[in-house]
Amino acid sequence: MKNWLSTLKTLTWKDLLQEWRSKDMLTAMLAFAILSIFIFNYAMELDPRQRAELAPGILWVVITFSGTLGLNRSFVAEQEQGSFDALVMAVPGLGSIWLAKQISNFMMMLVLIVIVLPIYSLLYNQNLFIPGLWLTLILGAWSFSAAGTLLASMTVQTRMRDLLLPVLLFPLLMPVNMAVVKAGSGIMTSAPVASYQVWLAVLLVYGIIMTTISLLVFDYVILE
Amino acid sequence: MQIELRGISKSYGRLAVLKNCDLELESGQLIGLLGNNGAGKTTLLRIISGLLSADAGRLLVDGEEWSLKSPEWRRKCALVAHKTFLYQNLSGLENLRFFSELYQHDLNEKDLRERLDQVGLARAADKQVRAYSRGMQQRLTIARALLSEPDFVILDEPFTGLDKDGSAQLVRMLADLKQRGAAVLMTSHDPQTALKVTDGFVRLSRGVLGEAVAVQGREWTEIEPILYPESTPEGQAA
Repeated sequence: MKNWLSTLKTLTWKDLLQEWRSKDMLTAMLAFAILSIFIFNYAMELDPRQRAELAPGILWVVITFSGTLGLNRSFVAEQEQGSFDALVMAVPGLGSIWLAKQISNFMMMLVLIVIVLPIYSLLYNQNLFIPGLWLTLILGAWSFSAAGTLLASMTVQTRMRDLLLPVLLFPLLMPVNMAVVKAGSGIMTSAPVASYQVWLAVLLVYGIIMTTISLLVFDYVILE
Repeated sequence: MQIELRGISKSYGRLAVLKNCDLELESGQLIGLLGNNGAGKTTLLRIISGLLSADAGRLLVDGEEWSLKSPEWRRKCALVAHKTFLYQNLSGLENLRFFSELYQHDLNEKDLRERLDQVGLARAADKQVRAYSRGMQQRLTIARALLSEPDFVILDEPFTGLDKDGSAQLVRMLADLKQRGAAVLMTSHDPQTALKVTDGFVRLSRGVLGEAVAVQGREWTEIEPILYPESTPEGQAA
């Protein structure tokens, strides 16, 4: 277990260091997210009540679409120089490769959320510093990156990876999309907790199930 | 250590790439794997290194059956392939440190710099790999592969991209590897260079692996007709 955690730490550090130096993922994700928020801002004239209801939906669309750009890039370094093979040969439990990539993708999503929410707050003149909303988005981001990292590891081996990933990912994320929007709207409109807590539970359970499945099937995905 | 591969077969759809291939290797032995482009050499090497599933076949290590797909086997092997397996945004030193940590070798910075020095990259240790030439990357790839002091080394065209000095250095490293007791399987399109360190050659042709031909101090001109009988006048007449 100690060795497994040490391997996980090494792999995660490598992914983050690579991204810190190249900024490939984050630049694309942030540029897309900020542009999308501006477009939504100009396209929709909303009253305060509508803004509160729609904010989680708009934010989630921006976050997931931007996140998909990042996911598409997440295995490219391994694919281009074949270093994935070297990892497979060096690492005893291949699940740690997936988890390290999942953690670094999740951290990119967190950075995205931390930057996007204040910008949205400023543009729409709306307070988004609500712990419940942040929790919802963070749970959603974990589920999104868990499913996305697994699918990205499969699609990176195909020629049409840029097209294939969103086509496969978004149907798989339907429960997450619904849960984030429903729970977020409930929180933003100060609805009773009982009316949206089931959606938070959906997010939590989805994240746990997707993480477990990914850890179990990653060996098979890579070696078969 | 004795490594035996028995009955390795692999097909892609109806195309049989490898047909019932047998191969034996011992510690301290270097076997050259020859074959034309598309003969299935890379497929065979990927199966042996545990990166690709075979349709059939067994691996015996000292007479004991092992799974080709087991992590223990993969960690015993080192592979130098066409791609460098290196991270371009990390320096040479960081690449070696990363893989050394994955193999839990706990090599300190001095050890890692020594490894880089052995392949002539001491001065480029802190440069990012993207700034390396193809030959420098190939040297680093070899240093990376040998970092784990593997029992079995698989080299796919290792002389590619190396200049004269680099090739001579690789030949010396291969001789050291043999001396250390590692078994080495190497493909090369330049058997005459490989001959300096090779104990024997096998030829893969249309998915069929031929008998091993021992070098025993012979020149390539003596070995070639045995490996490629169709290229001799008698073979062409037949």
